Amino acid sequence: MSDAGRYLSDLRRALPRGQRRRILTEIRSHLTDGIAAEVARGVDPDEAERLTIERLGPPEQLASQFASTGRRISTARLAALGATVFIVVLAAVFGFAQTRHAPNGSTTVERNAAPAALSHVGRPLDDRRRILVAELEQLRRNLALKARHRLLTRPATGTPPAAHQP
Amino acid sequence: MNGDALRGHLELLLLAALAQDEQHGYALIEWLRVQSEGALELGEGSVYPALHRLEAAGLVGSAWQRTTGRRRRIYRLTKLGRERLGEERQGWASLVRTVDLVLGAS
Repeated sequence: MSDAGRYLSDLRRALPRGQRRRILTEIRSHLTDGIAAEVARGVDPDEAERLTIERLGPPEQLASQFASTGRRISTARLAALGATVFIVVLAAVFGFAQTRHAPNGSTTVERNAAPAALSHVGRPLDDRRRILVAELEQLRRNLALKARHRLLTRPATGTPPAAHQP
Repeated sequence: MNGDALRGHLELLLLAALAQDEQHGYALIEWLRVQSEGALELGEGSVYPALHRLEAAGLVGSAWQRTTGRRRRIYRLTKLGRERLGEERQGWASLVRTVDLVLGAS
């Protein structure tokens, strides 16, 4: 492997996965330009390669400088985004479910009260939404039951755990 | 001029370079090498992380450009970058004035 090839593979190993492609493409291009420029000045090709690599600095050092530049979405941000999407979807579904269960809910009222973004949705999706609402309601009931069960079976604070009681 | 001192102002220098024309990384480094008379010789790879930082800050934009079968990342100044460069230039000029005053007085 050439020195430039070794430099790139060392750099690749030191870089965070999400940033590798762009940075490696840029640095590969830099090495090609740098070597060509030195050769054009009359420098021997091997020496041109060595000089260009030396000027870049050690690959680990270069990689570490990229650590703070990432535009990758952090895990925390991704979680926040996921939570937001989930809440918006839930709000849309429950908003719709409520209008549907309204006591005087005629079809037009339902349509008008449904979130604007969903008002164009056709019949098959309505059915799917109803199933989803039912499932969510079932899930909510299960969770409530479980929580109540846990409350009832948990020993009062201060008393030893159930396993140790006679 | 000392290379380390210059590197502390690398981002300002890059904004100044890009104010003239859009450039790819290697051309910027060549420009800096000529302008700084070789002071930035070692560790010039740091220009790339600096460009990425400037881009993350919205001061610089970039896009791939394909030339002779090779991809190069071309950088250009954004409107925000141009504004920041103006501010930094003023800040720099006032710093130089102040230091000149102090040095002249001693």
